[in-house]
Amino acid sequence: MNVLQDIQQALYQHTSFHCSSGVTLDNKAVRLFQEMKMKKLHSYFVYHIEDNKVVKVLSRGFPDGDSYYNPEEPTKMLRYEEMVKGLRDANSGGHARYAAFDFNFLLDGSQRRKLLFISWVGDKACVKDKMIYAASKAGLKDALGADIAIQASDEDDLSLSKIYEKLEKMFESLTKSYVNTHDPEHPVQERSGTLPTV
Amino acid sequence: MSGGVYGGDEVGALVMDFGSYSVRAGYAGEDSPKVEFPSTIGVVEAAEKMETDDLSGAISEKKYYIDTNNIRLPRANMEMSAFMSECMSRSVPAEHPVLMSEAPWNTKAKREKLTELMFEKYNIPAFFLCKSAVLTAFANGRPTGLVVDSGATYTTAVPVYDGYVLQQGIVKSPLAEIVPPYKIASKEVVDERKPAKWTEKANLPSLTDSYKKYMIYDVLQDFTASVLQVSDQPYDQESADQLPTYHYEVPNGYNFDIGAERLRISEGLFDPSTIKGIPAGNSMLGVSHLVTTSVGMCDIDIRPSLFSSVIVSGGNSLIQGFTERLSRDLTIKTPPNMRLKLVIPPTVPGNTERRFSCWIGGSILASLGSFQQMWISKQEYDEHGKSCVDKKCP
Repeated sequence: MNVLQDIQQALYQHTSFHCSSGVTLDNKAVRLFQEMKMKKLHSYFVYHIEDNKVVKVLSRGFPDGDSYYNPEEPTKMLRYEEMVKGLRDANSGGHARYAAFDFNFLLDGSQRRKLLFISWVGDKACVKDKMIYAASKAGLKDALGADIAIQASDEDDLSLSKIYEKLEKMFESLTKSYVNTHDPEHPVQERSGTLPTV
Repeated sequence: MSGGVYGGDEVGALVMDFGSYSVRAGYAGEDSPKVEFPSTIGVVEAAEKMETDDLSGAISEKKYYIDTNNIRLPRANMEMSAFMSECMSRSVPAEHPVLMSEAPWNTKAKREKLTELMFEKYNIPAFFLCKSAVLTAFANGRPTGLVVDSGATYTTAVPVYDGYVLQQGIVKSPLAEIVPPYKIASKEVVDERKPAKWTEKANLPSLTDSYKKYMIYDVLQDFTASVLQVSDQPYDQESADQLPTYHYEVPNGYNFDIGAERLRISEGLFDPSTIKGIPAGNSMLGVSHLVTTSVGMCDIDIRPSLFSSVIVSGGNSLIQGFTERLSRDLTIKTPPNMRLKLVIPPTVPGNTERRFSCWIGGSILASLGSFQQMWISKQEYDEHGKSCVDKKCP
Protein backbone atom coordinates (compact mmCIF):
# COMPACT_ATOMS: atom_id res chain seq x y z
CA MET A 1 0.00 0.00 0.00
CA ASN A 2 2.79 2.39 0.93
CA VAL A 3 4.69 1.66 -2.25
CA LEU A 4 1.63 2.32 -4.28
CA GLN A 5 1.13 5.63 -2.55
CA ASP A 6 4.71 6.64 -3.07
CA ILE A 7 4.45 5.94 -6.76
CA GLN A 8 1.24 7.87 -6.97
CA GLN A 9 2.69 10.78 -5.11
CA ALA A 10 5.76 10.84 -7.28
CA LEU A 11 3.54 10.72 -10.31
CA TYR A 12 1.46 13.65 -9.21
CA GLN A 13 4.43 15.74 -8.26
CA HIS A 14 5.61 15.54 -11.83
CA THR A 15 2.28 16.24 -13.40
CA SER A 16 3.06 19.47 -15.14
CA PHE A 17 0.17 21.75 -14.49
CA HIS A 18 -0.23 24.39 -17.14
CA CYS A 19 -2.57 27.31 -17.34
CA SER A 20 -2.52 30.65 -19.07
CA SER A 21 -1.71 32.65 -15.95
CA GLY A 22 1.33 30.66 -14.84
CA VAL A 23 -0.15 29.93 -11.40
CA THR A 24 1.05 26.62 -9.92
CA LEU A 25 -0.52 23.99 -7.71
CA ASP A 26 0.78 23.29 -4.23
CA ASN A 27 2.03 19.72 -3.71
CA LYS A 28 0.36 19.52 -0.34
CA ALA A 29 -2.98 20.29 -1.95
CA VAL A 30 -2.50 17.36 -4.32
CA ARG A 31 -1.59 15.05 -1.45
CA LEU A 32 -4.61 16.06 0.62
CA PHE A 33 -6.85 15.53 -2.38
CA GLN A 34 -5.44 12.03 -2.75
CA GLU A 35 -6.27 11.37 0.89
CA MET A 36 -9.84 12.36 0.19
CA LYS A 37 -9.99 10.21 -2.91
CA MET A 38 -8.34 7.07 -1.54
CA LYS A 39 -9.03 7.11 2.18
CA LYS A 40 -12.00 9.44 2.54
CA LEU A 41 -10.18 11.41 5.20
CA HIS A 42 -11.79 14.69 4.18
CA SER A 43 -15.13 15.73 2.80
CA TYR A 44 -14.26 19.01 1.11
CA PHE A 45 -11.54 21.57 0.47
CA VAL A 46 -11.66 25.27 -0.19
CA TYR A 47 -8.66 26.58 -2.12
CA HIS A 48 -7.31 30.04 -2.66
CA ILE A 49 -4.51 31.43 -4.78
CA GLU A 50 -1.82 32.62 -2.42
CA ASP A 51 0.10 35.76 -3.46
CA ASN A 52 -1.23 35.31 -6.99
CA LYS A 53 1.17 32.39 -7.40
CA VAL A 54 0.18 29.11 -5.81
CA VAL A 55 -3.14 27.32 -5.37
CA LYS A 56 -3.27 26.26 -1.70
CA VAL A 57 -5.78 24.65 0.63
CA LEU A 58 -7.50 27.31 2.74
CA SER A 59 -9.86 25.12 4.75
CA ARG A 60 -11.04 21.52 4.78
CA GLY A 61 -13.93 19.53 6.15
CA PHE A 62 -14.03 16.43 8.34
CA PRO A 63 -15.22 13.20 6.74
CA ASP A 64 -18.93 13.00 6.27
CA GLY A 65 -19.52 9.41 7.32
CA ASP A 66 -21.87 7.50 5.09
CA SER A 67 -24.34 10.25 4.23
CA TYR A 68 -25.30 10.61 0.62
CA TYR A 69 -27.58 12.77 -1.50
CA ASN A 70 -30.93 11.30 -2.38
CA PRO A 71 -33.01 13.35 -4.85
CA GLU A 72 -36.23 11.68 -3.65
CA GLU A 73 -35.89 12.97 -0.13
CA PRO A 74 -33.33 15.77 -0.22
CA THR A 75 -31.77 16.19 3.15
CA LYS A 76 -29.29 18.88 3.96
CA MET A 77 -25.73 17.76 3.59
CA LEU A 78 -24.03 19.43 6.51
CA ARG A 79 -20.50 19.39 5.14
CA TYR A 80 -21.63 20.80 1.86
CA GLU A 81 -23.54 23.60 3.60
CA GLU A 82 -20.41 24.35 5.57
CA MET A 83 -18.39 24.62 2.37
CA VAL A 84 -20.98 26.80 0.65
CA LYS A 85 -20.96 29.11 3.64
CA GLY A 86 -17.20 29.51 3.22
CA LEU A 87 -17.67 30.35 -0.44
CA ARG A 88 -20.45 32.78 0.31
CA ASP A 89 -18.32 34.59 2.87
CA ALA A 90 -15.47 34.82 0.39
CA ASN A 91 -17.81 36.37 -2.14
CA SER A 92 -19.03 39.02 0.25
CA GLY A 93 -15.40 39.82 0.96
CA GLY A 94 -14.83 40.34 -2.78
CA HIS A 95 -12.92 37.13 -3.37
CA ALA A 96 -13.19 34.16 -5.68
CA ARG A 97 -12.33 30.59 -4.59
CA TYR A 98 -11.91 27.05 -5.80
CA ALA A 99 -13.40 24.13 -3.95
CA ALA A 100 -13.44 20.35 -4.12
CA PHE A 101 -16.20 18.15 -2.75
CA ASP A 102 -16.60 14.41 -2.30
CA PHE A 103 -20.11 13.94 -3.62
CA ASN A 104 -21.97 10.71 -2.81
CA PHE A 105 -25.38 10.34 -4.36
CA LEU A 106 -28.08 7.93 -5.38
CA LEU A 107 -28.69 7.49 -9.10
CA ASP A 108 -30.83 4.81 -10.72
CA GLY A 109 -31.08 3.08 -7.36
CA SER A 110 -27.40 2.65 -6.79
CA GLN A 111 -25.03 4.73 -4.75
CA ARG A 112 -22.35 6.55 -6.70
CA ARG A 113 -19.47 8.82 -5.93
CA LYS A 114 -17.95 11.70 -7.86
CA LEU A 115 -15.28 14.17 -6.86
CA LEU A 116 -16.35 17.65 -7.83
CA PHE A 117 -14.05 20.52 -8.63
CA ILE A 118 -15.86 23.83 -8.28
CA SER A 119 -14.58 27.18 -9.45
CA TRP A 120 -16.48 29.81 -7.58
CA VAL A 121 -16.47 33.34 -8.96
CA GLY A 122 -19.38 35.25 -7.50
CA ASP A 123 -20.77 38.56 -8.66
CA LYS A 124 -19.13 40.44 -5.83
CA ALA A 125 -15.64 39.17 -6.57
CA CYS A 126 -13.29 41.96 -7.62
CA VAL A 127 -12.13 42.09 -11.22
CA LYS A 128 -8.66 40.99 -10.30
CA ASP A 129 -9.92 37.83 -8.60
CA LYS A 130 -12.28 37.14 -11.47
CA MET A 131 -9.43 37.37 -13.92
CA ILE A 132 -6.87 35.30 -12.07
CA TYR A 133 -9.24 32.54 -10.92
CA ALA A 134 -10.74 32.21 -14.39
CA ALA A 135 -7.36 32.20 -16.10
CA SER A 136 -5.90 29.59 -13.75
CA LYS A 137 -8.77 27.14 -13.75
CA ALA A 138 -7.96 25.23 -16.92
CA GLY A 139 -6.25 21.97 -16.08
CA LEU A 140 -6.64 22.29 -12.31
CA LYS A 141 -9.32 19.63 -12.21
CA ASP A 142 -7.10 17.10 -13.94
CA ALA A 143 -4.02 18.08 -11.97
CA LEU A 144 -5.89 17.33 -8.75
CA GLY A 145 -7.57 14.25 -10.10
CA ALA A 146 -11.20 15.33 -9.72
CA ASP A 147 -13.93 13.86 -11.90
CA ILE A 148 -16.14 16.78 -12.77
CA ALA A 149 -15.54 20.50 -13.09
CA ILE A 150 -18.30 22.90 -12.18
CA GLN A 151 -18.32 26.59 -13.01
CA ALA A 152 -20.36 28.43 -10.42
CA SER A 153 -21.15 32.11 -10.32
CA ASP A 154 -24.22 32.32 -8.09
CA GLU A 155 -25.96 30.39 -5.29
CA ASP A 156 -28.14 28.70 -7.84
CA ASP A 157 -25.13 27.10 -9.55
CA LEU A 158 -24.00 25.78 -6.16
CA SER A 159 -27.26 24.11 -5.14
CA LEU A 160 -26.91 20.35 -4.91
CA SER A 161 -30.11 19.75 -6.84
CA LYS A 162 -28.69 21.68 -9.82
CA ILE A 163 -25.42 19.79 -9.63
CA TYR A 164 -27.29 16.51 -9.37
CA GLU A 165 -29.30 17.40 -12.48
CA LYS A 166 -26.08 18.03 -14.33
CA LEU A 167 -24.65 14.68 -13.31
CA GLU A 168 -27.85 12.95 -14.29
CA LYS A 169 -27.63 14.48 -17.76
CA MET A 170 -24.01 13.47 -18.09
CA PHE A 171 -24.77 9.87 -17.28
CA GLU A 172 -27.67 9.98 -19.69
CA SER A 173 -25.69 11.40 -22.60
CA LEU A 174 -22.89 8.97 -21.88
CA THR A 175 -25.15 5.98 -22.34
CA LYS A 176 -26.73 7.63 -25.38
CA SER A 177 -23.44 8.39 -27.08
CA TYR A 178 -22.77 4.68 -27.50
CA VAL A 179 -25.89 4.42 -29.59
CA ASN A 180 -25.72 7.67 -31.53
CA THR A 181 -23.70 7.90 -34.68
CA HIS A 182 -22.27 11.35 -34.87
CA ASP A 183 -22.52 13.76 -37.73
CA PRO A 184 -19.28 13.35 -39.71
CA GLU A 185 -19.14 17.07 -40.44
CA HIS A 186 -18.95 17.92 -36.77
CA PRO A 187 -16.44 15.56 -35.26
CA VAL A 188 -16.86 15.05 -31.56
CA GLN A 189 -14.35 16.92 -29.46
CA GLU A 190 -12.88 15.54 -26.37
CA ARG A 191 -15.69 15.20 -23.88
CA SER A 192 -15.92 17.78 -21.17
CA GLY A 193 -16.87 15.36 -18.46
CA THR A 194 -15.84 11.87 -19.40
CA LEU A 195 -17.08 9.61 -16.69
CA PRO A 196 -15.27 6.48 -15.79
CA THR A 197 -17.75 3.79 -14.77
CA VAL A 198 -18.16 3.74 -11.07
CA MET B 1 2.63 50.82 -8.52
CA SER B 2 1.24 54.02 -9.88
CA GLY B 3 -2.08 53.98 -8.10
CA GLY B 4 -3.47 50.90 -9.80
CA VAL B 5 -6.29 49.36 -7.78
CA TYR B 6 -5.57 45.84 -8.92
CA GLY B 7 -2.16 45.71 -7.36
CA GLY B 8 0.25 43.15 -8.71
CA ASP B 9 3.92 43.23 -9.44
CA GLU B 10 5.63 46.05 -11.23
CA VAL B 11 6.71 44.86 -14.63
CA GLY B 12 6.03 47.95 -16.71
CA ALA B 13 4.39 45.91 -19.43
CA LEU B 14 2.36 47.65 -22.09
CA VAL B 15 -1.11 46.32 -22.77
CA MET B 16 -2.80 47.08 -26.06
CA ASP B 17 -6.25 46.23 -27.24
CA PHE B 18 -6.99 47.01 -30.86
CA GLY B 19 -10.48 47.55 -32.13
CA SER B 20 -11.55 48.78 -35.50
CA TYR B 21 -12.85 51.98 -33.97
CA SER B 22 -10.44 52.70 -31.18
CA VAL B 23 -7.21 51.50 -29.65
CA ARG B 24 -6.90 51.05 -25.92
CA ALA B 25 -3.40 51.17 -24.50
CA GLY B 26 -1.83 51.50 -21.09
CA TYR B 27 0.39 49.93 -18.47
CA ALA B 28 -0.29 46.54 -16.92
CA GLY B 29 -1.70 46.66 -13.39
CA GLU B 30 -3.70 49.83 -13.85
CA ASP B 31 -7.46 49.83 -13.71
CA SER B 32 -8.16 51.54 -16.99
CA PRO B 33 -6.23 52.30 -20.17
CA LYS B 34 -3.92 55.32 -20.14
CA VAL B 35 -5.13 56.34 -23.57
CA GLU B 36 -7.98 55.48 -25.82
CA PHE B 37 -7.66 56.92 -29.29
CA PRO B 38 -9.27 56.30 -32.66
CA SER B 39 -7.74 53.51 -34.71
CA THR B 40 -7.71 55.86 -37.63
CA ILE B 41 -4.92 58.37 -37.71
CA GLY B 42 -4.14 61.32 -39.87
CA VAL B 43 -1.11 61.17 -42.12
CA VAL B 44 0.39 64.16 -43.82
CA GLU B 45 3.15 63.77 -46.36
CA ALA B 46 5.39 66.40 -44.94
CA ALA B 47 7.27 68.58 -47.34
CA GLU B 48 9.28 70.45 -44.77
CA LYS B 49 11.59 69.10 -42.09
CA MET B 50 10.12 67.33 -39.11
CA GLU B 51 9.86 69.28 -35.91
CA THR B 52 12.54 68.66 -33.37
CA ASP B 53 10.37 67.28 -30.62
CA ASP B 54 9.69 64.23 -32.73
CA LEU B 55 11.47 61.26 -31.31
CA SER B 56 12.91 59.52 -34.30
CA GLY B 57 13.68 62.53 -36.43
CA ALA B 58 14.57 62.28 -40.04
CA ILE B 59 13.71 58.67 -40.85
CA SER B 60 10.12 59.33 -41.77
CA GLU B 61 8.80 61.78 -44.29
CA LYS B 62 5.26 61.32 -43.08
CA LYS B 63 3.72 63.21 -40.25
CA TYR B 64 1.25 61.42 -38.07
CA TYR B 65 -1.62 62.87 -36.13
CA ILE B 66 -2.82 60.58 -33.40
CA ASP B 67 -5.56 61.16 -30.86
CA THR B 68 -8.96 62.72 -31.14
CA ASN B 69 -8.05 66.38 -30.90
CA ASN B 70 -5.38 66.17 -33.53
CA ILE B 71 -7.71 64.53 -36.00
CA ARG B 72 -10.58 66.93 -35.60
CA LEU B 73 -8.45 69.84 -36.72
CA PRO B 74 -8.65 69.99 -40.49
CA ARG B 75 -5.29 69.91 -42.19
CA ALA B 76 -4.34 70.11 -45.80
CA ASN B 77 -3.84 66.82 -47.62
CA MET B 78 -4.44 64.70 -44.56
CA GLU B 79 -5.35 61.13 -45.45
CA MET B 80 -7.13 58.94 -42.93
CA SER B 81 -5.62 55.53 -42.60
CA ALA B 82 -5.68 52.57 -40.32
CA PHE B 83 -3.40 52.84 -37.34
CA MET B 84 -2.08 49.31 -37.55
CA SER B 85 -1.13 49.41 -41.20
CA GLU B 86 0.40 52.86 -41.27
CA CYS B 87 2.48 52.98 -38.17
CA MET B 88 2.62 51.07 -34.97
CA SER B 89 2.82 53.49 -32.12
CA ARG B 90 6.32 54.79 -32.43
CA SER B 91 6.56 55.31 -28.76
CA VAL B 92 6.85 51.59 -27.97
CA PRO B 93 10.06 51.74 -26.05
CA ALA B 94 12.49 48.88 -26.18
CA GLU B 95 12.33 48.28 -22.43
CA HIS B 96 8.66 47.30 -22.07
CA PRO B 97 7.19 43.85 -22.62
CA VAL B 98 4.04 44.07 -24.75
CA LEU B 99 0.79 42.15 -24.36
CA MET B 100 -1.62 42.52 -27.23
CA SER B 101 -5.11 41.37 -27.88
CA GLU B 102 -6.01 39.84 -31.21
CA ALA B 103 -9.16 38.85 -33.01
CA PRO B 104 -10.10 35.22 -32.29
CA TRP B 105 -10.13 34.43 -36.01
CA ASN B 106 -6.64 35.81 -36.59
CA THR B 107 -4.65 33.66 -39.00
CA LYS B 108 -1.39 31.96 -38.19
CA ALA B 109 0.48 33.96 -40.81
CA LYS B 110 -0.68 37.27 -39.37
CA ARG B 111 0.22 36.32 -35.83
CA GLU B 112 3.71 35.33 -36.90
CA LYS B 113 4.11 38.51 -38.89
CA LEU B 114 3.07 40.57 -35.88
CA THR B 115 5.49 38.72 -33.63
CA GLU B 116 8.28 39.26 -36.12
CA LEU B 117 7.45 42.94 -36.40
CA MET B 118 7.43 43.44 -32.65
CA PHE B 119 10.77 41.78 -32.06
CA GLU B 120 12.63 42.86 -35.18
CA LYS B 121 11.39 46.39 -35.66
CA TYR B 122 10.53 47.52 -32.16
CA ASN B 123 13.05 45.38 -30.39
CA ILE B 124 10.83 44.65 -27.40
CA PRO B 125 12.13 42.35 -24.63
CA ALA B 126 9.04 40.12 -24.41
CA PHE B 127 5.74 39.64 -26.15
CA PHE B 128 2.41 37.92 -25.64
CA LEU B 129 -0.68 37.62 -27.78
CA CYS B 130 -4.02 36.84 -26.26
CA LYS B 131 -7.37 36.38 -27.92
CA SER B 132 -9.69 39.24 -27.05
CA ALA B 133 -12.65 36.95 -26.39
CA VAL B 134 -10.62 34.95 -23.87
CA LEU B 135 -9.55 38.10 -22.04
CA THR B 136 -13.14 39.32 -21.92
CA ALA B 137 -14.37 35.97 -20.60
CA PHE B 138 -11.63 35.85 -17.95
CA ALA B 139 -12.26 39.41 -16.85
CA ASN B 140 -15.84 38.38 -16.18
CA GLY B 141 -14.66 35.41 -14.12
CA ARG B 142 -15.62 32.73 -16.60
CA PRO B 143 -13.20 30.34 -18.27
CA THR B 144 -16.14 28.89 -20.20
CA GLY B 145 -18.76 30.99 -21.91
CA LEU B 146 -19.98 32.58 -25.09
CA VAL B 147 -18.66 36.06 -25.75
CA VAL B 148 -20.99 38.28 -27.74
CA ASP B 149 -19.13 41.33 -28.94
CA SER B 150 -21.02 43.96 -30.86
CA GLY B 151 -18.54 46.57 -32.00
CA ALA B 152 -17.90 49.14 -34.67
CA THR B 153 -17.66 46.92 -37.74
CA TYR B 154 -18.60 43.42 -36.66
CA THR B 155 -20.87 41.60 -34.31
CA THR B 156 -19.40 38.28 -33.26
CA ALA B 157 -20.21 35.32 -31.07
CA VAL B 158 -17.18 33.40 -29.88
CA PRO B 159 -17.39 30.27 -27.73
CA VAL B 160 -14.62 29.97 -25.16
CA TYR B 161 -14.03 26.69 -23.36
CA ASP B 162 -11.62 26.49 -20.43
CA GLY B 163 -9.76 29.48 -21.77
CA TYR B 164 -9.49 28.21 -25.32
CA VAL B 165 -11.41 29.58 -28.27
CA LEU B 166 -13.39 26.94 -30.13
CA GLN B 167 -12.53 27.99 -33.66
CA GLN B 168 -15.32 26.09 -35.36
CA GLY B 169 -17.97 27.92 -33.37
CA ILE B 170 -17.03 31.50 -34.23
CA VAL B 171 -19.81 33.34 -36.00
CA LYS B 172 -19.27 36.79 -37.43
CA SER B 173 -21.78 39.11 -38.92
CA PRO B 174 -20.81 42.33 -40.70
CA LEU B 175 -23.55 44.02 -38.79
CA ALA B 176 -22.80 46.86 -36.48
CA GLU B 177 -23.70 50.40 -35.78
CA ILE B 178 -21.99 51.59 -38.92
CA VAL B 179 -24.81 50.19 -41.07
CA PRO B 180 -27.81 51.88 -39.50
CA PRO B 181 -26.29 55.36 -39.21
CA TYR B 182 -25.42 55.46 -42.89
CA LYS B 183 -29.03 55.04 -43.67
CA ILE B 184 -29.84 58.10 -41.66
CA ALA B 185 -27.20 60.06 -43.46
CA SER B 186 -29.17 59.92 -46.65
CA LYS B 187 -32.35 60.66 -44.80
CA GLU B 188 -31.05 63.93 -43.46
CA VAL B 189 -30.41 65.08 -46.96
CA VAL B 190 -33.74 63.92 -48.38
CA ASP B 191 -36.04 65.11 -45.64
CA GLU B 192 -34.75 68.60 -45.24
CA ARG B 193 -37.41 69.80 -42.90
CA LYS B 194 -35.65 73.09 -42.72
CA PRO B 195 -32.67 73.84 -44.88
CA ALA B 196 -29.59 74.48 -42.83
CA LYS B 197 -28.07 77.91 -42.90
CA TRP B 198 -24.37 77.86 -42.75
CA THR B 199 -21.42 79.32 -44.50
CA GLU B 200 -18.20 77.62 -45.32
CA LYS B 201 -15.10 78.68 -43.51
CA ALA B 202 -13.16 80.91 -45.83
CA ASN B 203 -9.68 79.67 -45.31
CA LEU B 204 -10.35 75.94 -45.11
CA PRO B 205 -7.40 73.93 -46.40
CA SER B 206 -8.07 71.40 -49.14
CA LEU B 207 -9.37 68.22 -47.59
CA THR B 208 -9.08 64.64 -48.75
CA ASP B 209 -12.02 62.33 -49.30
CA SER B 210 -11.01 59.92 -46.59
CA TYR B 211 -10.94 62.80 -44.13
CA LYS B 212 -14.44 63.91 -45.03
CA LYS B 213 -15.70 60.36 -44.76
CA TYR B 214 -14.18 60.03 -41.32
CA MET B 215 -15.78 63.23 -40.12
CA ILE B 216 -19.20 62.13 -41.38
CA TYR B 217 -18.78 58.88 -39.55
CA ASP B 218 -17.84 60.84 -36.48
CA VAL B 219 -21.14 62.74 -36.51
CA LEU B 220 -23.05 59.50 -36.98
CA GLN B 221 -21.21 58.00 -34.05
CA ASP B 222 -22.43 60.80 -31.83
CA PHE B 223 -25.93 60.37 -33.20
CA THR B 224 -25.90 56.68 -32.34
CA ALA B 225 -24.71 57.26 -28.83
CA SER B 226 -27.21 59.96 -27.99
CA VAL B 227 -30.38 58.99 -29.78
CA LEU B 228 -30.71 55.30 -30.55
CA GLN B 229 -32.66 52.91 -28.43
CA VAL B 230 -33.41 49.22 -28.83
CA SER B 231 -37.01 48.22 -28.57
CA ASP B 232 -37.68 45.49 -26.05
CA GLN B 233 -39.70 43.48 -28.52
CA PRO B 234 -39.74 43.02 -32.27
CA TYR B 235 -40.35 46.32 -34.03
CA ASP B 236 -43.90 47.35 -34.53
CA GLN B 237 -44.93 50.70 -35.93
CA GLU B 238 -47.73 51.43 -33.54
CA SER B 239 -45.87 51.18 -30.29
CA ALA B 240 -42.85 52.86 -31.81
CA ASP B 241 -44.93 55.89 -32.69
CA GLN B 242 -45.68 56.38 -29.04
CA LEU B 243 -42.05 56.77 -28.15
CA PRO B 244 -41.17 60.30 -27.09
CA THR B 245 -39.36 62.14 -29.84
CA TYR B 246 -35.81 63.24 -29.45
CA HIS B 247 -34.38 66.45 -30.76
CA TYR B 248 -31.08 66.19 -32.55
CA GLU B 249 -28.98 68.83 -34.19
CA VAL B 250 -26.32 68.15 -36.76
CA PRO B 251 -23.26 70.42 -36.52
CA ASN B 252 -24.25 72.57 -39.48
CA GLY B 253 -27.40 73.68 -37.72
CA TYR B 254 -29.81 71.36 -39.43
CA ASN B 255 -32.07 69.87 -36.80
CA PHE B 256 -34.99 67.53 -36.61
CA ASP B 257 -37.14 65.54 -34.22
CA ILE B 258 -36.80 61.82 -34.33
CA GLY B 259 -39.26 59.35 -32.85
CA ALA B 260 -40.02 55.95 -34.28
CA GLU B 261 -36.75 55.92 -36.21
CA ARG B 262 -34.90 55.69 -32.94
CA LEU B 263 -36.15 52.14 -32.68
CA ARG B 264 -36.24 51.26 -36.34
CA ILE B 265 -32.58 51.94 -36.95
CA SER B 266 -31.28 49.78 -34.14
CA GLU B 267 -33.82 47.08 -34.93
CA GLY B 268 -31.47 46.17 -37.77
CA LEU B 269 -29.07 44.71 -35.21
CA PHE B 270 -31.62 42.10 -34.21
CA ASP B 271 -33.47 41.67 -37.46
CA PRO B 272 -31.32 42.52 -40.48
CA SER B 273 -34.28 42.18 -42.84
CA THR B 274 -35.51 45.59 -41.68
CA ILE B 275 -32.48 47.34 -43.13
CA LYS B 276 -33.23 48.81 -46.52
CA GLY B 277 -30.93 48.68 -49.49
CA ILE B 278 -29.14 45.49 -48.61
CA PRO B 279 -29.18 42.74 -51.22
CA ALA B 280 -30.78 39.45 -50.34
CA GLY B 281 -28.57 36.49 -49.56
CA ASN B 282 -26.09 38.43 -47.45
CA SER B 283 -24.34 36.93 -44.47
CA MET B 284 -26.00 39.11 -41.87
CA LEU B 285 -27.46 37.51 -38.80
CA GLY B 286 -29.33 39.16 -35.99
CA VAL B 287 -27.53 39.17 -32.63
CA SER B 288 -29.68 36.50 -31.01
CA HIS B 289 -29.53 34.33 -34.11
CA LEU B 290 -25.77 34.71 -33.98
CA VAL B 291 -25.68 33.31 -30.47
CA THR B 292 -27.79 30.26 -31.24
CA THR B 293 -25.85 29.51 -34.43
CA SER B 294 -22.57 29.68 -32.60
CA VAL B 295 -23.73 27.44 -29.78
CA GLY B 296 -25.21 25.01 -32.29
CA MET B 297 -21.82 24.60 -33.90
CA CYS B 298 -20.23 23.38 -30.69
CA ASP B 299 -20.26 19.94 -29.14
CA ILE B 300 -23.59 19.08 -27.57
CA ASP B 301 -22.02 18.43 -24.16
CA ILE B 302 -20.81 21.96 -23.68
CA ARG B 303 -23.89 23.76 -25.01
CA PRO B 304 -25.52 24.10 -21.57
CA SER B 305 -22.41 25.71 -20.12
CA LEU B 306 -22.25 28.16 -23.02
CA PHE B 307 -25.88 29.16 -22.63
CA SER B 308 -25.41 29.62 -18.93
CA SER B 309 -22.76 32.28 -19.44
CA VAL B 310 -23.36 34.51 -22.40
CA ILE B 311 -21.02 37.44 -21.91
CA VAL B 312 -22.05 40.71 -23.53
CA SER B 313 -19.45 43.26 -24.54
CA GLY B 314 -18.69 45.88 -27.18
CA GLY B 315 -19.87 49.42 -27.81
CA ASN B 316 -23.25 48.53 -29.29
CA SER B 317 -24.30 46.83 -26.09
CA LEU B 318 -24.36 50.27 -24.51
CA ILE B 319 -27.26 51.37 -26.70
CA GLN B 320 -30.26 51.81 -24.45
CA GLY B 321 -32.31 48.62 -24.24
CA PHE B 322 -29.79 46.39 -26.04
CA THR B 323 -29.29 43.87 -23.25
CA GLU B 324 -32.98 43.68 -22.36
CA ARG B 325 -33.87 42.87 -25.94
CA LEU B 326 -31.09 40.31 -26.29
CA SER B 327 -32.15 38.51 -23.15
CA ARG B 328 -35.77 38.46 -24.31
CA ASP B 329 -34.93 37.09 -27.77
CA LEU B 330 -32.59 34.48 -26.35
CA THR B 331 -35.07 33.28 -23.76
CA ILE B 332 -37.37 32.31 -26.60
CA LYS B 333 -34.62 30.56 -28.53
CA THR B 334 -32.93 28.70 -25.68
CA PRO B 335 -33.85 25.02 -25.52
CA PRO B 336 -36.16 24.41 -22.54
CA ASN B 337 -33.76 22.02 -20.80
CA MET B 338 -30.97 24.59 -20.71
CA ARG B 339 -30.58 27.54 -18.43
CA LEU B 340 -29.85 30.91 -19.93
CA LYS B 341 -27.79 33.46 -18.13
CA LEU B 342 -26.54 36.73 -19.54
CA VAL B 343 -23.40 38.11 -17.99
CA ILE B 344 -23.46 41.85 -18.27
CA PRO B 345 -20.58 43.81 -16.81
CA PRO B 346 -21.80 46.83 -14.86
CA THR B 347 -22.04 50.06 -16.82
CA VAL B 348 -21.70 52.52 -14.00
CA PRO B 349 -19.64 54.50 -13.30
CA GLY B 350 -18.35 55.74 -16.58
CA ASN B 351 -18.97 52.51 -18.50
CA THR B 352 -15.37 51.50 -18.14
CA GLU B 353 -15.84 47.87 -17.31
CA ARG B 354 -17.85 46.93 -20.37
CA ARG B 355 -15.96 49.10 -22.78
CA PHE B 356 -12.59 48.06 -21.51
CA SER B 357 -13.23 44.58 -20.15
CA CYS B 358 -10.81 43.08 -22.63
CA TRP B 359 -8.11 45.59 -21.80
CA ILE B 360 -8.62 45.21 -18.06
CA GLY B 361 -8.25 41.45 -18.45
CA GLY B 362 -4.95 41.92 -20.25
CA SER B 363 -3.80 44.44 -17.68
CA ILE B 364 -4.33 42.07 -14.76
CA LEU B 365 -2.85 39.09 -16.55
CA ALA B 366 0.32 40.90 -17.58
CA SER B 367 0.86 42.25 -14.08
CA LEU B 368 0.74 38.88 -12.33
CA GLY B 369 4.04 37.70 -10.94
CA SER B 370 3.29 34.17 -12.04
CA PHE B 371 2.62 35.30 -15.59
CA GLN B 372 6.19 36.39 -16.13
CA GLN B 373 7.22 32.88 -17.16
CA MET B 374 4.60 32.89 -19.89
CA TRP B 375 6.01 35.70 -22.01
CA ILE B 376 7.81 34.97 -25.24
CA SER B 377 11.18 36.45 -24.44
CA LYS B 378 13.54 37.94 -26.94
CA GLN B 379 15.89 35.03 -26.30
CA GLU B 380 13.19 32.48 -27.12
CA TYR B 381 12.34 34.35 -30.25
CA ASP B 382 15.96 34.34 -31.34
CA GLU B 383 16.20 30.61 -30.75
CA HIS B 384 12.92 29.36 -32.20
CA GLY B 385 11.91 32.07 -34.63
CA LYS B 386 8.49 33.50 -35.15
CA SER B 387 6.67 30.17 -35.01
CA CYS B 388 7.04 30.12 -31.21
CA VAL B 389 3.99 32.37 -30.99
CA ASP B 390 1.74 29.42 -31.79
CA LYS B 391 3.26 27.33 -29.06
CA LYS B 392 3.31 29.93 -26.33
CA CYS B 393 0.07 31.75 -27.03
CA PRO B 394 -2.75 29.33 -27.76
